[in-house]
Amino acid sequence: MAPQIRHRLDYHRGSVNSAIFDASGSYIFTGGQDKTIRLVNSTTGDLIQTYLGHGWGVQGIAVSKDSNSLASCGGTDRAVYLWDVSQAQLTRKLTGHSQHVDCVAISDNGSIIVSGSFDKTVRVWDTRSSNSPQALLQSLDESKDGISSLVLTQTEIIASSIDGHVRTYDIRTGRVLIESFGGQPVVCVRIVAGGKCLLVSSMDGSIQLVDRADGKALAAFSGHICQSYRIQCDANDSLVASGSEDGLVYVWDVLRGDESGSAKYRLGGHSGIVNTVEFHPSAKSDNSKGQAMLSAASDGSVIIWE
Amino acid sequence: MSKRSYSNSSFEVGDGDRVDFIHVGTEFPRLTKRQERQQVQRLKYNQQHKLKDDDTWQPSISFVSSQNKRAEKMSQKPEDFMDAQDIAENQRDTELMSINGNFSSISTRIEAQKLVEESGNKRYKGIVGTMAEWMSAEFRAIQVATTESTGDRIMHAMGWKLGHGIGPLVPTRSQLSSNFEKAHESDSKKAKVPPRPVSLVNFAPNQNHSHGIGYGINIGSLEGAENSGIGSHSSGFLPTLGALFKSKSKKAENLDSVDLVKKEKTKKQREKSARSKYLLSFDASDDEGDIYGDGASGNARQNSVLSSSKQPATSKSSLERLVEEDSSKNSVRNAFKMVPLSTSDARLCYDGKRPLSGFELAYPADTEACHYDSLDVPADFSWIRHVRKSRWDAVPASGSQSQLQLSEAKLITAKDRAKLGIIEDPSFKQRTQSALDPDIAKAALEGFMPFSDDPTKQQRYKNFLQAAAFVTNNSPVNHVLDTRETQEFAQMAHVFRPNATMLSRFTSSTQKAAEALPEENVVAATNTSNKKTVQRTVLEWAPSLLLCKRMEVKPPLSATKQTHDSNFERQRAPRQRAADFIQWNANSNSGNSEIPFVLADDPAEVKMDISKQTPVKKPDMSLFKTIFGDSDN
Repeated sequence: MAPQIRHRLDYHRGSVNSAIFDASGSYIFTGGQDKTIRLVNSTTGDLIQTYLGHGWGVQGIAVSKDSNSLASCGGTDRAVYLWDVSQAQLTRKLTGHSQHVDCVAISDNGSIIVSGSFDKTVRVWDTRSSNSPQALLQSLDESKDGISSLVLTQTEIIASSIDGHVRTYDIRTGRVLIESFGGQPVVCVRIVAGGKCLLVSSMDGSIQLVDRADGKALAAFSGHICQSYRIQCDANDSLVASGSEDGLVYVWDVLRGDESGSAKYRLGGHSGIVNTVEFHPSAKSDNSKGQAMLSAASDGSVIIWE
Repeated sequence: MSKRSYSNSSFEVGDGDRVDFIHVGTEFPRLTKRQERQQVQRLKYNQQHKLKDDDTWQPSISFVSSQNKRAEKMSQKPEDFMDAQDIAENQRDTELMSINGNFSSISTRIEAQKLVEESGNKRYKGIVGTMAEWMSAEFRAIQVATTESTGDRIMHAMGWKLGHGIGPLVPTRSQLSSNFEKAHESDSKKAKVPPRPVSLVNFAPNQNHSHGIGYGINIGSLEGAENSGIGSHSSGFLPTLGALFKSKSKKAENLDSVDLVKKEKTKKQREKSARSKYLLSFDASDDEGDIYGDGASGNARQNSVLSSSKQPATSKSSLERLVEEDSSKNSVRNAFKMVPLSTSDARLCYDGKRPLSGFELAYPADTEACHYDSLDVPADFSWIRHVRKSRWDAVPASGSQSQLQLSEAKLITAKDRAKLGIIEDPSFKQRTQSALDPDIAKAALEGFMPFSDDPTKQQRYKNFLQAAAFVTNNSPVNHVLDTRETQEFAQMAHVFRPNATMLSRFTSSTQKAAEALPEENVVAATNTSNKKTVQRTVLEWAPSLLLCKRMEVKPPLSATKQTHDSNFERQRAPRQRAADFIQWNANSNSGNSEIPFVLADDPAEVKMDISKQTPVKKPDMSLFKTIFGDSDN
C-alpha cells in the first residue's frame, strides 16, 4: 500500500528548503525561504513555534538528540545559528564561512556542529566555547567544490560535495576516505542500515547504495529527476525515497531496486520541486511506521506521509 | 680759530681815549653768528621743554643740515636715483655679503675689519650715502685676501719674503770666512741672513741610460764611447761583461754624469745604435769558425769590424783588443760568442716599428731544450693502494679511453672511472652499455609503438624492447648501445612508456566502438546496470584534540593540537582551558571519561600510547595561575 498524506502543512511562504524529524519523531522542524524555522507537531500538524532571526532563507536544519538545541544555516548569512528550542531564542551565531552555508549537522549531545558551505570547506564548531572565534575547532578544506550534504556520526564526519566525492573523516583513525562516484555531483548522502551502507544521490538522476566496508555498490535507484537542484533522499531498512524535480516523491524497494530500475511508488501532492524527503525515525524499528515520511517542496508545502 | 689773547688789547672809545682791558685765562672762543643762533635756539628749546641741563639736548644723529650740504661738493650718487625699494634691496644685498675674517690676510684683516665696522655702523645708522665706496672697499679687501694662500700668509707672518730660502738664518760668507762670528757672537744673530732658495729637483727619469737586466747597452748613445773608439764603428761591439763593470776613467765618469741629464739623441744616433745591436749567446759551442754564427753577413761584418780600416786611429778599448786577439787566433771566446746582427736582420716589433732605445727583441725560447721527458715507472714498482686492493680497484672501469696508463688509472676512484668511461672489465662494459632498464622496456612494450611509417624499424624496436625486458645479469647481453639506432630505441622507450596517471584520467580514442553505447540504449543501461564504480582513496587526516574530546573519541596518533586557525590556541583563553580541565575532572570522577586530559604543547607527547593507561599529566602552571591567580600580580 502506498503512503498516504497525513498532513499537509502550508505555514511557509515560499520554498521549503529543509524539513526534518526530531529524534522522537513527534515534531517536525522546517526551514524555508521565508527566513523562518517552524516547529510543527507531526501528529497533529499544529504549528508550535516559529524561530525568527535569519536574514536570508534557511538552507539546512539539524536538531540534537535531546531536542534542546537546534542548528540552522542560512544562505547568504554565511553563518550557523544555534537555537534554544524551548526558548525559541538564538543562542549562538557562528560566523566564519566565506560563502553561503548549505548544510549543517549537529552531534547528539549538541556540543559539535558541522557546517558545509559553498566555499568548499566543512567547519567544525564547538558550541561550548565562550566566543565565536574560539568556536571553530577545525576546517576541512579537501573538497574541490561546494558541500551539498553532511552526516555526523559518533566518530565520523561524512560530507558530500559537488565535485563528485564523498569524504568520510574518521576521527578515531585519523584518516579521510574519499569515494568517487563517477565524477557526477553528489547532492545528498545518508547513512542507512545502521551505518553499514551509504546512500548517495547524484545529479545524474541516480541513487547509489554503497557498502561502506568495501565500497561495493549494492544497489542503484533511478527514475527521478535530479539535474539542477539539490534533491535529498532517505532510506530505511526496506525503502528508499527521494524527491524529484517533477514534483513527485519516488520510493523504491531496497531489495529490488537494481532489478526493475523503477520506483515502487511515485507520490504526488506537491506542485513544486520536492526538495527533501525524510523517513520517520521510528520507521526503522517500528514496522507500523515503515512508510511514514516527510517531504517538503518548493511550493511551500510540507507533507507528512504515513 | 687761533687763540688770541685779548689782553693788552685796546678798545678805542669814540673820544679817542684808549682803555686797556685785562683778561685772565684763555680767551673765550669767538662764536660765529651761526653758533650764536644755535645757542639761542637751544636755550629756547630747553625752556620750552623744561630741560635743566643744556647738555641733554643733542642734535639728532640723523639730522643733516642743509647748510652743510651747500658747502659740500654736490656729486651724483646712485642712491640719488634709487627709490626706497631699491635702497632696501641694496641694503639686503649688502647684508648678505659680508667680509669673513678667514678669507682675509693678516695684514689686511685689520683693514677689512675696519671697513666692516665702518660699513656696519653706517648700515645700522642708516647712512647710505657712501655705499658705493663701502662696497668697493669690501671688494678690495676680498681681492687682496684671495691672492695670497694660507701658506703664504703664514710665511709672511714669519717674516719670509719672496726670494728668500726656507730655513733658519745663516751667516754670510764673509762671516764664515773670517772669525767675525766668534769675535762678535752677540751680534752674530743680527748679521745673519736668510738662506738662499733651494733649486728645484728634477725627478724625471732619465731614459737614456740602458743599465739593468734585459736592457741592451746602446753604444751609440755614448759620446764618450764613440770618442774612445767603441761606438764609432758602424757595427759597434758591445763591451764585454768585464768591461761593463770595469771601473771607468774619470772622463768616462764625467761623460756619464753628463749623460744623465743629456737630452734624447738625434734620429741618426738612434739608427746607428740599432744597427750596432748584438746578441750575446752563451752557447759554448766550439770550432764553428764563425764567431758570429751568421754566415756571410757575419763575415762581412766581421771584416768590417776587424779591419777597421775606416776607423780613425784611436786608443783601443779592452773590447777591441779582445776582438783582435780572437780574430788573430781564430778562436771563439770562452765566455760567449757574439752574434752580430746585419741590418736586414734588425728585428722589428710586431707593428713594424723598431724597438725603443735600450730595448731589444728576444728570441723565442728553445722549448725543446727545456723539455724533460717524464720518467717511466719501474716495472717492479707497486702502488700502495693497488696492493691493498681498495675500492679503487674494486669496480672495473668501462669506456673507450684506453690510452690512459695503468698506473694513472689506478689513481682514479671507481666513480670517476665510470664517469670517464675507462674500460677494464669487458663484462662491465656490456652491462653498462645496455642502459635500458628491463622495467622500462616492459612498460614500453605495452605503450605506444613509434616508427609506424617504417614497419621494419618498428619491428626492430619491438625486438630491442623484448630483449631488454627479459635480460638478466647472467644472460649475455644481446644488444649493446653501441649503435646509434639502439640509442634511439632506448630514448623512444623512455618517452613512449605508458603513464599510469594519464591512464586513470583519460581514455584512448582508439578503443573499440563496441564499448561505446548508442544513445537509444542509455536509459536501459541506467535502469539495468547503473551501478557506478566507487573509487576509494585514503589520506591521512589530523583531527584536533579538542574535537576528539568533544566527540569523546580517543585521539589518533596523527591528532594535532593545531587547529585551522593557527592563532586559535594562542587566542584561546586560559580560563577556557581551566573550564575544560574542570569538566574533565568531573567526568573522570564520575567514571565516564577514559581520556586523559592533556595540556601538552608538543604534539609528540600526545602521540604516546594512551591505551597503556599512562598516568595523567600534571597541568601546566598557566592553569593554576588562572584558577588561583598569579602570585606576581
